[in-house]
Amino acid sequence: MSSEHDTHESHGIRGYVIVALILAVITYVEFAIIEYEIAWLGPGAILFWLIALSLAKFVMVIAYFMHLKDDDATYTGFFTSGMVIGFGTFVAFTFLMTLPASLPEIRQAALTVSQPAHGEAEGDGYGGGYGGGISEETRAAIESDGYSRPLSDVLREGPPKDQTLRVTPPAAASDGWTVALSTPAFGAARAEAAPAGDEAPAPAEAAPAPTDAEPAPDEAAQATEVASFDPAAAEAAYTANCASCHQANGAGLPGAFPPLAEHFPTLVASDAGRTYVISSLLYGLQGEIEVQGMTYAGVMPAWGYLGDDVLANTLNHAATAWGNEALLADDFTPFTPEEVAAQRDGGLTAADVYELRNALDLP
Amino acid sequence: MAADAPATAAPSVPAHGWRSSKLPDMKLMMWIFLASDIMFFGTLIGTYLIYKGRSLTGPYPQDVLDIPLTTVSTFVLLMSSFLMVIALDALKRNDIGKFRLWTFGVAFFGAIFLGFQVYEFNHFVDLGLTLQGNLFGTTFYVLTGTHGVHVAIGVLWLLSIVVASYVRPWTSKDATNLEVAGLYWHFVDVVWIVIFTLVYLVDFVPGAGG
Ligand code: HEC
Repeated sequence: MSSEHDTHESHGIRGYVIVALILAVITYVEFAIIEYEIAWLGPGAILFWLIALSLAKFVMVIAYFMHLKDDDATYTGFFTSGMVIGFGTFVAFTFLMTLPASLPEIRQAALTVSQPAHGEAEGDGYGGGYGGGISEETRAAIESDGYSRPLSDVLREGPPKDQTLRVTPPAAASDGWTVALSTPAFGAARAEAAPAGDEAPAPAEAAPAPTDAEPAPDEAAQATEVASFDPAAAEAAYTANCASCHQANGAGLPGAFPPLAEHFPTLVASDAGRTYVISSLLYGLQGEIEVQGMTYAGVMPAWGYLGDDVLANTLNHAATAWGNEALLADDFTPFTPEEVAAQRDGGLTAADVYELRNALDLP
Repeated sequence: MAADAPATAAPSVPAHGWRSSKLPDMKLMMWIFLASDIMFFGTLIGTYLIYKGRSLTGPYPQDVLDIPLTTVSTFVLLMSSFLMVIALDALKRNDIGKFRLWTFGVAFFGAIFLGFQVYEFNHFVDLGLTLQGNLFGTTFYVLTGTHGVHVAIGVLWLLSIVVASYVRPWTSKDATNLEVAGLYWHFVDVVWIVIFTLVYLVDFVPGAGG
Protein backbone atom coordinates (compact mmCIF):
# COMPACT_ATOMS: atom_id res chain seq x y z
CA MET A 1 0.00 0.00 0.00
CA SER A 2 2.65 2.44 1.11
CA SER A 3 4.90 2.10 -1.95
CA GLU A 4 1.95 2.31 -4.27
CA HIS A 5 0.95 5.42 -2.38
CA ASP A 6 4.37 6.96 -2.95
CA THR A 7 4.42 6.49 -6.69
CA HIS A 8 0.92 7.84 -6.87
CA GLU A 9 1.94 10.99 -5.04
CA SER A 10 5.04 11.76 -7.04
CA HIS A 11 3.00 11.23 -10.16
CA GLY A 12 0.62 13.72 -8.58
CA ILE A 13 3.33 16.34 -8.16
CA ARG A 14 3.96 16.47 -11.87
CA GLY A 15 0.23 16.97 -12.35
CA TYR A 16 0.21 19.81 -9.81
CA VAL A 17 3.09 21.52 -11.56
CA ILE A 18 1.26 21.36 -14.87
CA VAL A 19 -1.92 22.74 -13.30
CA ALA A 20 0.05 25.54 -11.63
CA LEU A 21 1.71 26.42 -14.93
CA ILE A 22 -1.61 26.53 -16.75
CA LEU A 23 -3.05 28.74 -14.01
CA ALA A 24 -0.10 31.10 -14.31
CA VAL A 25 -0.40 31.25 -18.09
CA ILE A 26 -4.14 31.94 -17.93
CA THR A 27 -3.55 34.75 -15.45
CA TYR A 28 -0.99 36.24 -17.77
CA VAL A 29 -3.33 35.98 -20.75
CA GLU A 30 -6.10 37.73 -18.81
CA PHE A 31 -3.66 40.47 -17.89
CA ALA A 32 -2.44 40.78 -21.47
CA ILE A 33 -5.96 41.03 -22.88
CA ILE A 34 -6.61 44.09 -20.75
CA GLU A 35 -3.16 45.62 -20.68
CA TYR A 36 -2.46 45.46 -24.40
CA GLU A 37 -6.01 46.35 -25.43
CA ILE A 38 -6.47 43.63 -27.96
CA ALA A 39 -8.47 45.76 -30.35
CA TRP A 40 -9.57 43.11 -32.81
CA LEU A 41 -11.61 41.44 -30.09
CA GLY A 42 -14.85 43.33 -29.53
CA PRO A 43 -15.87 44.24 -25.98
CA GLY A 44 -18.33 41.35 -25.96
CA ALA A 45 -15.67 38.85 -26.97
CA ILE A 46 -13.22 40.21 -24.41
CA LEU A 47 -15.81 39.91 -21.69
CA PHE A 48 -16.59 36.39 -22.79
CA TRP A 49 -12.95 35.31 -22.74
CA LEU A 50 -12.23 36.92 -19.41
CA ILE A 51 -15.12 35.10 -17.82
CA ALA A 52 -14.35 31.82 -19.59
CA LEU A 53 -10.70 31.97 -18.52
CA SER A 54 -11.48 32.73 -14.90
CA LEU A 55 -14.05 29.95 -14.92
CA ALA A 56 -11.37 27.59 -16.19
CA LYS A 57 -9.08 28.62 -13.34
CA PHE A 58 -11.90 28.27 -10.86
CA VAL A 59 -12.68 24.73 -12.01
CA MET A 60 -9.04 23.68 -12.15
CA VAL A 61 -8.26 24.76 -8.61
CA ILE A 62 -11.32 23.02 -7.30
CA ALA A 63 -10.89 19.86 -9.33
CA TYR A 64 -7.15 19.35 -8.93
CA PHE A 65 -5.90 21.33 -5.96
CA MET A 66 -8.95 20.64 -3.84
CA HIS A 67 -9.08 17.11 -5.25
CA LEU A 68 -12.76 17.34 -5.87
CA LYS A 69 -12.31 15.45 -9.13
CA ASP A 70 -11.20 12.24 -7.42
CA ASP A 71 -12.82 12.73 -4.06
CA ASP A 72 -16.12 11.57 -2.65
CA ALA A 73 -19.12 12.88 -4.57
CA THR A 74 -20.71 14.03 -1.31
CA TYR A 75 -18.28 16.96 -1.17
CA THR A 76 -19.06 17.94 -4.70
CA GLY A 77 -22.73 17.77 -3.85
CA PHE A 78 -22.41 20.16 -0.95
CA PHE A 79 -20.23 22.59 -2.79
CA THR A 80 -22.33 22.63 -5.93
CA SER A 81 -25.53 23.24 -4.03
CA GLY A 82 -23.83 26.10 -2.23
CA MET A 83 -22.85 27.54 -5.56
CA VAL A 84 -26.29 27.09 -7.05
CA ILE A 85 -27.94 28.79 -4.09
CA GLY A 86 -25.31 31.53 -4.13
CA PHE A 87 -25.80 32.16 -7.82
CA GLY A 88 -29.58 31.98 -7.42
CA THR A 89 -29.38 34.63 -4.71
CA PHE A 90 -27.37 36.78 -7.04
CA VAL A 91 -29.84 36.44 -9.89
CA ALA A 92 -32.82 37.11 -7.63
CA PHE A 93 -31.02 40.12 -6.19
CA THR A 94 -30.22 41.55 -9.57
CA PHE A 95 -33.78 41.05 -10.69
CA LEU A 96 -35.25 42.72 -7.62
CA MET A 97 -32.83 45.60 -7.80
CA THR A 98 -33.20 46.39 -11.46
CA LEU A 99 -36.94 45.91 -11.84
CA PRO A 100 -38.11 48.84 -9.69
CA ALA A 101 -35.55 51.05 -11.41
CA SER A 102 -37.03 50.40 -14.81
CA LEU A 103 -40.66 50.80 -13.76
CA PRO A 104 -40.75 54.62 -13.82
CA GLU A 105 -39.17 54.52 -17.27
CA ILE A 106 -41.89 52.25 -18.52
CA ARG A 107 -44.55 54.48 -17.11
CA GLN A 108 -42.83 57.47 -18.53
CA ALA A 109 -42.81 55.86 -21.95
CA ALA A 110 -46.48 55.09 -21.62
CA LEU A 111 -47.22 58.68 -20.70
CA THR A 112 -45.32 60.11 -23.58
CA VAL A 113 -47.13 57.91 -26.01
CA SER A 114 -50.50 58.91 -24.68
CA GLN A 115 -49.83 62.62 -24.72
CA PRO A 116 -51.58 63.35 -28.00
CA ALA A 117 -54.78 62.39 -26.23
CA HIS A 118 -54.28 64.71 -23.29
CA GLY A 119 -56.37 67.46 -24.73
CA GLU A 120 -59.54 65.55 -24.02
CA ALA A 121 -58.72 65.13 -20.40
CA GLU A 122 -57.78 68.69 -19.71
CA GLY A 123 -59.86 70.67 -17.28
CA ASP A 124 -61.96 67.77 -16.23
CA GLY A 125 -61.57 68.58 -12.60
CA TYR A 126 -58.95 66.15 -11.44
CA GLY A 127 -57.25 68.04 -8.67
CA GLY A 128 -55.44 66.04 -6.08
CA GLY A 129 -53.53 62.85 -6.16
CA TYR A 130 -50.42 63.95 -7.98
CA GLY A 131 -47.99 65.93 -5.93
CA GLY A 132 -45.49 68.59 -6.83
CA GLY A 133 -42.96 68.11 -9.54
CA ILE A 134 -45.42 66.80 -12.09
CA SER A 135 -46.45 69.28 -14.73
CA GLU A 136 -50.03 69.97 -15.67
CA GLU A 137 -49.46 68.32 -18.96
CA THR A 138 -48.02 65.17 -17.49
CA ARG A 139 -50.78 64.98 -14.94
CA ALA A 140 -53.42 65.31 -17.57
CA ALA A 141 -51.74 62.56 -19.48
CA ILE A 142 -51.79 60.25 -16.48
CA GLU A 143 -55.47 60.92 -16.00
CA SER A 144 -56.41 60.28 -19.56
CA ASP A 145 -54.42 57.33 -20.64
CA GLY A 146 -55.20 53.72 -20.34
CA TYR A 147 -51.64 52.63 -20.70
CA SER A 148 -50.04 53.22 -17.36
CA ARG A 149 -50.63 49.63 -16.46
CA PRO A 150 -48.18 47.64 -14.38
CA LEU A 151 -45.35 46.08 -16.34
CA SER A 152 -46.55 42.60 -15.52
CA ASP A 153 -49.88 43.35 -17.22
CA VAL A 154 -48.23 44.77 -20.29
CA LEU A 155 -46.00 41.76 -20.60
CA ARG A 156 -48.81 39.28 -20.03
CA GLU A 157 -51.54 40.87 -22.12
CA GLY A 158 -49.30 42.51 -24.60
CA PRO A 159 -49.16 46.20 -25.40
CA PRO A 160 -52.35 48.16 -26.06
CA LYS A 161 -53.88 47.83 -29.52
CA ASP A 162 -52.00 49.48 -32.34
CA GLN A 163 -48.91 49.91 -30.24
CA THR A 164 -45.71 47.98 -30.07
CA LEU A 165 -43.57 47.21 -27.09
CA ARG A 166 -39.91 47.90 -27.68
CA VAL A 167 -37.41 46.44 -25.25
CA THR A 168 -33.87 47.71 -25.69
CA PRO A 169 -30.90 46.18 -23.90
CA PRO A 170 -28.58 48.58 -22.10
CA ALA A 171 -26.06 50.25 -24.40
CA ALA A 172 -23.51 50.48 -21.64
CA ALA A 173 -23.16 48.38 -18.54
CA SER A 174 -24.28 51.31 -16.44
CA ASP A 175 -27.56 51.84 -18.27
CA GLY A 176 -30.76 50.06 -17.52
CA TRP A 177 -33.01 48.20 -19.91
CA THR A 178 -35.41 50.47 -21.68
CA VAL A 179 -38.92 49.44 -22.32
CA ALA A 180 -40.96 51.72 -24.48
CA LEU A 181 -44.38 51.66 -26.04
CA SER A 182 -44.61 53.20 -29.42
CA THR A 183 -47.39 53.89 -31.88
CA PRO A 184 -46.77 53.31 -35.56
CA ALA A 185 -48.24 56.76 -36.11
CA PHE A 186 -45.24 58.22 -34.35
CA GLY A 187 -42.78 56.60 -36.66
CA ALA A 188 -44.85 57.56 -39.66
CA ALA A 189 -44.99 61.17 -38.57
CA ARG A 190 -41.24 61.26 -38.22
CA ALA A 191 -40.65 59.56 -41.52
CA GLU A 192 -42.80 62.19 -43.19
CA ALA A 193 -41.26 65.07 -41.37
CA ALA A 194 -37.71 64.27 -42.32
CA PRO A 195 -37.88 64.42 -46.11
CA ALA A 196 -40.24 67.39 -46.06
CA GLY A 197 -37.42 69.45 -44.65
CA ASP A 198 -39.58 72.46 -43.90
CA GLU A 199 -39.88 71.74 -40.23
CA ALA A 200 -38.05 73.67 -37.58
CA PRO A 201 -34.52 72.31 -37.37
CA ALA A 202 -35.17 70.54 -34.08
CA PRO A 203 -37.22 67.49 -35.00
CA ALA A 204 -39.65 67.73 -32.15
CA GLU A 205 -42.44 66.65 -34.45
CA ALA A 206 -43.96 64.48 -31.77
CA ALA A 207 -44.68 67.42 -29.52
CA PRO A 208 -48.40 68.05 -29.72
CA ALA A 209 -48.04 71.82 -29.21
CA PRO A 210 -47.45 73.58 -32.52
CA THR A 211 -44.56 75.64 -31.19
CA ASP A 212 -42.85 75.65 -34.54
CA ALA A 213 -45.41 78.07 -35.90
CA GLU A 214 -42.78 80.50 -37.15
CA PRO A 215 -41.78 79.62 -40.66
CA ALA A 216 -38.46 77.90 -40.96
CA PRO A 217 -35.69 79.95 -42.52
CA ASP A 218 -34.54 79.04 -45.99
CA GLU A 219 -31.34 77.49 -44.81
CA ALA A 220 -33.43 75.00 -42.91
CA ALA A 221 -33.30 72.86 -45.98
CA GLN A 222 -30.09 71.57 -44.49
CA ALA A 223 -32.13 70.37 -41.58
CA THR A 224 -32.84 67.18 -43.44
CA GLU A 225 -29.25 66.22 -42.71
CA VAL A 226 -29.51 67.11 -39.08
CA ALA A 227 -29.32 64.29 -36.58
CA SER A 228 -32.67 63.68 -35.00
CA PHE A 229 -33.52 62.33 -31.60
CA ASP A 230 -36.39 60.46 -30.08
CA PRO A 231 -38.39 62.89 -27.88
CA ALA A 232 -39.84 60.08 -25.80
CA ALA A 233 -36.40 58.69 -25.01
CA ALA A 234 -35.14 62.21 -24.35
CA GLU A 235 -37.89 62.89 -21.86
CA ALA A 236 -37.35 59.53 -20.18
CA ALA A 237 -33.61 60.19 -19.86
CA TYR A 238 -34.26 63.63 -18.38
CA THR A 239 -36.90 62.34 -15.98
CA ALA A 240 -34.70 59.54 -14.77
CA ASN A 241 -31.52 61.58 -14.25
CA CYS A 242 -32.21 65.28 -13.98
CA ALA A 243 -35.79 65.88 -12.85
CA SER A 244 -35.04 65.16 -9.20
CA CYS A 245 -33.15 68.46 -9.05
CA HIS A 246 -34.12 70.58 -12.04
CA GLN A 247 -37.73 69.33 -11.76
CA ALA A 248 -39.92 67.74 -14.38
CA ASN A 249 -41.11 71.16 -15.54
CA GLY A 250 -37.56 72.49 -15.79
CA ALA A 251 -38.22 75.22 -13.24
CA GLY A 252 -35.59 74.00 -10.78
CA LEU A 253 -35.84 75.02 -7.15
CA PRO A 254 -35.12 78.71 -6.51
CA GLY A 255 -31.86 79.09 -4.64
CA ALA A 256 -30.96 75.40 -4.85
CA PHE A 257 -31.17 74.09 -8.40
CA PRO A 258 -31.13 76.50 -11.33
CA PRO A 259 -34.03 76.41 -13.78
CA LEU A 260 -33.45 75.08 -17.27
CA ALA A 261 -36.78 76.26 -18.67
CA GLU A 262 -36.43 79.55 -20.55
CA HIS A 263 -32.73 79.47 -19.70
CA PHE A 264 -31.10 76.50 -21.39
CA PRO A 265 -31.35 77.98 -24.92
CA THR A 266 -29.20 80.96 -23.89
CA LEU A 267 -26.51 78.57 -22.71
CA VAL A 268 -26.31 76.64 -25.96
CA ALA A 269 -26.51 79.62 -28.32
CA SER A 270 -22.77 79.32 -29.10
CA ASP A 271 -20.46 76.41 -29.77
CA ALA A 272 -18.55 77.25 -26.60
CA GLY A 273 -21.85 77.07 -24.77
CA ARG A 274 -22.55 73.62 -26.16
CA THR A 275 -19.13 72.49 -25.01
CA TYR A 276 -19.85 74.00 -21.62
CA VAL A 277 -23.17 72.20 -21.01
CA ILE A 278 -21.74 68.87 -22.16
CA SER A 279 -18.75 69.36 -19.86
CA SER A 280 -21.03 70.30 -16.98
CA LEU A 281 -22.66 66.89 -17.31
CA LEU A 282 -19.44 64.93 -17.82
CA TYR A 283 -17.44 66.60 -15.07
CA GLY A 284 -19.97 68.32 -12.83
CA LEU A 285 -20.24 72.00 -12.01
CA GLN A 286 -19.17 73.92 -8.96
CA GLY A 287 -19.09 77.67 -8.39
CA GLU A 288 -21.44 80.56 -7.89
CA ILE A 289 -23.65 81.22 -10.88
CA GLU A 290 -26.52 83.58 -11.52
CA VAL A 291 -29.59 82.45 -13.38
CA GLN A 292 -32.61 84.67 -13.95
CA GLY A 293 -31.57 87.02 -11.20
CA MET A 294 -31.10 84.30 -8.61
CA THR A 295 -27.73 83.17 -7.25
CA TYR A 296 -26.85 79.49 -7.08
CA ALA A 297 -23.78 78.27 -5.26
CA GLY A 298 -24.42 74.58 -5.40
CA VAL A 299 -22.63 71.60 -6.80
CA MET A 300 -23.88 69.50 -9.65
CA PRO A 301 -22.33 66.02 -9.51
CA ALA A 302 -20.73 64.57 -12.62
CA TRP A 303 -22.88 62.36 -14.83
CA GLY A 304 -20.04 60.91 -16.85
CA TYR A 305 -21.00 57.37 -15.96
CA LEU A 306 -24.18 57.73 -18.00
CA GLY A 307 -23.95 56.75 -21.64
CA ASP A 308 -23.31 59.27 -24.40
CA ASP A 309 -26.78 58.74 -25.82
CA VAL A 310 -28.45 59.22 -22.45
CA LEU A 311 -26.60 62.48 -21.86
CA ALA A 312 -27.35 63.74 -25.37
CA ASN A 313 -30.99 62.91 -24.73
CA THR A 314 -31.15 64.82 -21.45
CA LEU A 315 -29.70 67.88 -23.20
CA ASN A 316 -32.10 67.57 -26.10
CA HIS A 317 -35.01 67.43 -23.73
CA ALA A 318 -33.75 70.50 -21.89
CA ALA A 319 -33.34 72.27 -25.23
CA THR A 320 -36.79 71.53 -26.60
CA ALA A 321 -39.17 71.06 -23.66
CA TRP A 322 -41.11 73.67 -21.70
CA GLY A 323 -41.30 76.08 -24.60
CA ASN A 324 -37.52 76.23 -24.87
CA GLU A 325 -37.68 75.08 -28.44
CA ALA A 326 -39.10 78.43 -29.55
CA LEU A 327 -36.16 80.23 -27.91
CA LEU A 328 -33.45 78.23 -29.66
CA ALA A 329 -31.21 79.85 -32.21
CA ASP A 330 -32.27 79.11 -35.78
CA ASP A 331 -29.20 77.05 -36.49
CA PHE A 332 -29.54 74.92 -33.39
CA THR A 333 -28.93 71.24 -34.04
CA PRO A 334 -29.79 68.50 -31.56
CA PHE A 335 -27.00 67.09 -29.43
CA THR A 336 -25.66 63.77 -30.66
CA PRO A 337 -23.98 60.98 -28.69
CA GLU A 338 -20.87 61.62 -30.81
CA GLU A 339 -20.75 65.23 -29.73
CA VAL A 340 -20.89 64.13 -26.10
CA ALA A 341 -18.29 61.43 -26.64
CA ALA A 342 -15.92 63.99 -28.13
CA GLN A 343 -15.81 65.88 -24.80
CA ARG A 344 -14.92 62.81 -22.76
CA ASP A 345 -11.35 62.29 -21.62
CA GLY A 346 -11.05 66.06 -21.17
CA GLY A 347 -10.06 65.39 -17.58
CA LEU A 348 -11.77 68.55 -16.32
CA THR A 349 -12.86 69.22 -12.76
CA ALA A 350 -16.15 70.79 -11.71
CA ALA A 351 -14.20 74.01 -11.09
CA ASP A 352 -12.72 73.95 -14.61
CA VAL A 353 -16.22 73.68 -15.98
CA TYR A 354 -17.14 76.73 -13.94
CA GLU A 355 -14.36 78.63 -15.74
CA LEU A 356 -15.83 77.49 -19.05
CA ARG A 357 -19.10 79.05 -18.01
CA ASN A 358 -17.46 82.32 -17.00
CA ALA A 359 -15.81 82.52 -20.41
CA LEU A 360 -19.23 82.49 -22.05
CA ASP A 361 -20.89 85.72 -23.01
CA LEU A 362 -24.14 85.14 -21.19
CA PRO A 363 -26.86 87.80 -21.17
CA MET B 1 -15.53 -0.15 2.47
CA ALA B 2 -17.96 -2.97 2.95
CA ALA B 3 -15.36 -5.02 4.84
CA ASP B 4 -15.76 -2.86 7.93
CA ALA B 5 -19.51 -2.69 7.80
CA PRO B 6 -20.27 -5.01 10.74
CA ALA B 7 -17.99 -2.99 12.95
CA THR B 8 -20.20 0.05 12.69
CA ALA B 9 -22.75 -1.75 14.85
CA ALA B 10 -20.33 -1.79 17.78
CA PRO B 11 -19.08 1.70 18.61
CA SER B 12 -16.54 0.29 21.03
CA VAL B 13 -14.16 -0.95 18.33
CA PRO B 14 -10.94 1.09 17.91
CA ALA B 15 -11.72 4.43 16.43
CA HIS B 16 -10.06 4.23 13.09
CA GLY B 17 -11.43 0.75 12.56
CA TRP B 18 -14.79 2.12 11.57
CA ARG B 19 -13.95 5.70 10.83
CA SER B 20 -11.87 4.71 7.86
CA SER B 21 -15.02 3.62 6.13
CA LYS B 22 -16.56 7.06 6.43
CA LEU B 23 -15.81 10.49 5.20
CA PRO B 24 -13.64 12.35 7.73
CA ASP B 25 -15.92 14.60 9.77
CA MET B 26 -13.57 17.55 9.57
CA LYS B 27 -13.36 17.44 5.83
CA LEU B 28 -17.09 17.17 5.44
CA MET B 29 -17.61 20.07 7.79
CA MET B 30 -15.12 22.17 5.87
CA TRP B 31 -16.92 21.52 2.60
CA ILE B 32 -20.24 22.45 4.18
CA PHE B 33 -18.67 25.61 5.55
CA LEU B 34 -17.27 26.44 2.13
CA ALA B 35 -20.69 25.92 0.59
CA SER B 36 -22.11 28.48 3.00
CA ASP B 37 -19.16 30.80 2.51
CA ILE B 38 -19.61 30.80 -1.24
CA MET B 39 -23.18 32.03 -0.74
CA PHE B 40 -21.76 34.76 1.45
CA PHE B 41 -19.28 35.84 -1.19
CA GLY B 42 -21.91 35.40 -3.88
CA THR B 43 -24.03 38.01 -2.13
CA LEU B 44 -21.14 40.43 -1.75
CA ILE B 45 -20.06 40.04 -5.36
CA GLY B 46 -23.68 40.39 -6.47
CA THR B 47 -24.03 43.59 -4.47
CA TYR B 48 -20.86 44.92 -6.02
CA LEU B 49 -22.07 44.17 -9.53
CA ILE B 50 -25.53 45.60 -8.96
CA TYR B 51 -24.12 48.92 -7.79
CA LYS B 52 -21.43 48.93 -10.42
CA GLY B 53 -21.44 52.14 -12.45
CA ARG B 54 -23.94 53.80 -10.14
CA SER B 55 -21.58 55.90 -8.11
CA LEU B 56 -22.58 59.56 -8.31
CA THR B 57 -19.10 60.82 -7.61
CA GLY B 58 -15.61 59.50 -8.22
CA PRO B 59 -13.17 58.00 -7.88
CA TYR B 60 -14.44 55.42 -10.32
CA PRO B 61 -12.88 51.97 -10.77
CA GLN B 62 -10.77 53.02 -13.75
CA ASP B 63 -9.34 55.90 -11.74
CA VAL B 64 -7.85 53.76 -9.01
CA LEU B 65 -7.53 50.09 -9.94
CA ASP B 66 -4.05 49.00 -10.93
CA ILE B 67 -4.13 45.91 -13.12
CA PRO B 68 -0.38 45.10 -13.29
CA LEU B 69 -0.09 45.29 -9.50
CA THR B 70 -3.14 43.14 -8.91
CA THR B 71 -2.01 40.64 -11.52
CA VAL B 72 1.15 40.13 -9.49
CA SER B 73 -0.75 39.65 -6.24
CA THR B 74 -3.16 37.29 -8.00
CA PHE B 75 -0.19 35.32 -9.23
CA VAL B 76 1.28 35.16 -5.73
CA LEU B 77 -1.98 33.79 -4.36
CA LEU B 78 -2.23 31.19 -7.14
CA MET B 79 1.28 30.00 -6.45
CA SER B 80 0.54 29.76 -2.74
CA SER B 81 -2.18 27.31 -3.69
CA PHE B 82 0.41 25.31 -5.58
CA LEU B 83 2.71 25.24 -2.52
CA MET B 84 -0.27 24.08 -0.51
CA VAL B 85 -0.75 20.91 -2.53
CA ILE B 86 3.00 20.25 -2.45
CA ALA B 87 3.00 20.64 1.33
CA LEU B 88 0.15 18.17 1.68
CA ASP B 89 1.90 15.79 -0.65
CA ALA B 90 5.07 15.98 1.47
CA LEU B 91 3.17 15.34 4.68
CA LYS B 92 1.46 12.31 3.16
CA ARG B 93 4.91 10.98 2.29
CA ASN B 94 6.07 11.70 5.84
CA ASP B 95 8.61 14.21 4.55
CA ILE B 96 8.20 16.49 7.57
CA GLY B 97 10.94 18.95 6.64
CA LYS B 98 9.41 19.74 3.25
CA PHE B 99 5.92 19.78 4.74
CA ARG B 100 6.98 22.49 7.21
CA LEU B 101 8.86 24.45 4.59
CA TRP B 102 6.03 24.51 2.05
CA THR B 103 3.34 25.17 4.64
CA PHE B 104 5.34 28.11 5.87
CA GLY B 105 5.77 29.15 2.24
CA VAL B 106 2.00 29.21 1.76
CA ALA B 107 1.57 31.42 4.81
CA PHE B 108 4.40 33.64 3.58
CA PHE B 109 2.86 34.06 0.13
CA GLY B 110 -0.47 34.76 1.79
CA ALA B 111 1.22 37.47 3.84
CA ILE B 112 2.68 38.98 0.67
CA PHE B 113 -0.79 39.06 -0.84
CA LEU B 114 -2.06 40.84 2.26
CA GLY B 115 0.82 43.28 2.00
CA PHE B 116 -0.29 44.14 -1.54
CA GLN B 117 -3.81 44.65 -0.30
CA VAL B 118 -2.77 46.90 2.56
CA TYR B 119 -0.71 48.95 0.11
CA GLU B 120 -3.61 49.05 -2.34
CA PHE B 121 -6.14 50.17 0.26
CA ASN B 122 -3.80 52.88 1.54
CA HIS B 123 -3.17 54.10 -1.95
CA PHE B 124 -6.88 54.12 -2.78
CA VAL B 125 -7.72 56.13 0.31
CA ASP B 126 -5.08 58.65 -0.75
CA LEU B 127 -6.81 58.87 -4.10
CA GLY B 128 -10.05 59.68 -2.33
CA LEU B 129 -11.77 56.30 -2.41
CA THR B 130 -13.30 55.70 0.98
CA LEU B 131 -15.77 53.30 2.51
CA GLN B 132 -18.43 56.04 2.76
CA GLY B 133 -17.47 58.17 -0.23
CA ASN B 134 -19.39 56.47 -3.00
CA LEU B 135 -21.06 53.19 -3.90
CA PHE B 136 -17.95 51.87 -5.56
CA GLY B 137 -15.90 52.46 -2.41
CA THR B 138 -18.51 50.86 -0.17
CA THR B 139 -19.01 47.72 -2.19
CA PHE B 140 -15.36 47.39 -3.18
CA TYR B 141 -13.95 47.64 0.33
CA VAL B 142 -16.58 45.38 1.86
CA LEU B 143 -15.99 42.68 -0.76
CA THR B 144 -12.20 42.75 -0.98
CA GLY B 145 -11.90 43.47 2.74
CA THR B 146 -13.94 40.38 3.58
CA HIS B 147 -11.71 38.39 1.28
CA GLY B 148 -8.63 39.87 2.94
CA VAL B 149 -9.92 38.82 6.35
CA HIS B 150 -10.29 35.29 4.99
CA VAL B 151 -6.70 35.35 3.80
CA ALA B 152 -5.51 36.65 7.16
CA ILE B 153 -7.33 33.86 8.99
CA GLY B 154 -5.76 31.36 6.60
CA VAL B 155 -2.28 32.73 7.23
CA LEU B 156 -2.74 32.44 11.00
CA TRP B 157 -4.14 28.95 10.65
CA LEU B 158 -1.22 27.75 8.53
CA LEU B 159 1.34 29.34 10.84
CA SER B 160 -0.30 27.63 13.79
CA ILE B 161 0.04 24.33 11.94
CA VAL B 162 3.76 24.93 11.44
CA VAL B 163 4.12 25.73 15.15
CA ALA B 164 2.02 22.74 16.16
CA SER B 165 4.20 20.44 14.09
CA TYR B 166 7.14 21.38 16.35
CA VAL B 167 5.19 20.95 19.56
CA ARG B 168 3.97 17.49 18.61
CA PRO B 169 5.70 16.15 15.53
CA TRP B 170 3.20 15.57 12.73
CA THR B 171 3.12 12.43 10.62
CA SER B 172 1.18 11.35 7.58
CA LYS B 173 -1.65 10.45 10.00
CA ASP B 174 -2.27 14.16 10.41
CA ALA B 175 -2.70 14.69 6.69
CA THR B 176 -6.44 15.30 7.04
CA ASN B 177 -5.78 18.26 9.34
CA LEU B 178 -3.58 19.86 6.74
CA GLU B 179 -5.91 18.92 3.93
CA VAL B 180 -8.79 20.73 5.62
CA ALA B 181 -6.70 23.88 6.04
CA GLY B 182 -5.72 23.43 2.41
CA LEU B 183 -9.35 23.27 1.28
CA TYR B 184 -9.98 26.55 3.04
CA TRP B 185 -6.91 28.08 1.46
CA HIS B 186 -7.75 26.98 -2.07
CA PHE B 187 -11.26 28.28 -1.62
CA VAL B 188 -9.96 31.70 -0.70
CA ASP B 189 -7.85 31.52 -3.85
CA VAL B 190 -10.85 30.54 -5.95
CA VAL B 191 -12.87 33.47 -4.64
CA TRP B 192 -10.03 35.77 -5.57
CA ILE B 193 -9.99 34.37 -9.10
CA VAL B 194 -13.59 35.52 -9.43
CA ILE B 195 -12.97 38.89 -7.80
CA PHE B 196 -9.94 39.55 -9.97
CA THR B 197 -12.01 39.09 -13.10
CA LEU B 198 -15.32 40.65 -12.12
CA VAL B 199 -14.03 43.54 -10.02
CA TYR B 200 -10.69 44.36 -11.58
CA LEU B 201 -10.39 43.20 -15.19
CA VAL B 202 -13.94 43.78 -16.38
CA ASP B 203 -13.73 47.51 -15.65
CA PHE B 204 -11.07 47.85 -18.28
CA VAL B 205 -12.89 46.14 -21.10
CA PRO B 206 -12.98 48.86 -23.75
CA GLY B 207 -16.41 50.42 -23.99
CA ALA B 208 -17.78 48.78 -20.84
CA GLY B 209 -19.08 51.66 -18.76
CA GLY B 210 -17.64 55.17 -18.71
C1 HEC C 1 -28.23 66.55 -7.59
C2 HEC C 1 -29.05 67.56 -8.20
C3 HEC C 1 -28.85 67.74 -9.73
C4 HEC C 1 -29.14 66.85 -10.71
C5 HEC C 1 -29.71 65.45 -10.56
C6 HEC C 1 -28.83 67.51 -11.96
N1 HEC C 1 -28.37 68.76 -11.73
FE1 HEC C 1 -27.86 70.14 -13.13
N2 HEC C 1 -27.33 71.43 -11.66
C7 HEC C 1 -27.46 71.21 -10.30
C8 HEC C 1 -26.93 72.35 -9.60
C9 HEC C 1 -26.89 72.49 -8.07
C10 HEC C 1 -26.48 73.25 -10.57
C11 HEC C 1 -25.81 74.60 -10.31
C12 HEC C 1 -24.37 74.40 -9.92
C13 HEC C 1 -23.72 75.67 -9.45
O1 HEC C 1 -24.34 76.38 -8.67
O2 HEC C 1 -22.59 75.92 -9.85
C14 HEC C 1 -26.75 72.64 -11.87
C15 HEC C 1 -26.47 73.24 -13.09
C16 HEC C 1 -26.82 72.71 -14.30
C17 HEC C 1 -26.58 73.35 -15.58
C18 HEC C 1 -25.90 74.66 -15.78
C19 HEC C 1 -26.86 75.80 -15.64
C20 HEC C 1 -26.18 77.08 -15.95
O3 HEC C 1 -26.84 78.12 -15.90
O4 HEC C 1 -24.97 77.12 -16.23
C21 HEC C 1 -27.08 72.54 -16.54
C22 HEC C 1 -27.09 72.78 -18.05
C23 HEC C 1 -27.61 71.37 -15.89
N3 HEC C 1 -27.44 71.51 -14.53
C24 HEC C 1 -28.20 70.30 -16.54
C25 HEC C 1 -28.52 69.12 -15.92
C26 HEC C 1 -28.92 67.94 -16.63
C27 HEC C 1 -29.11 67.81 -18.13
C28 HEC C 1 -29.10 66.98 -15.70
C29 HEC C 1 -29.47 65.50 -15.94
C30 HEC C 1 -28.40 64.72 -16.51
C31 HEC C 1 -28.85 67.56 -14.40
N4 HEC C 1 -28.48 68.86 -14.57
C32 HEC C 1 -28.99 66.90 -13.19
C33 HEC C 1 -28.00 70.09 -9.71
C34 HEC C 1 -28.37 68.94 -10.38
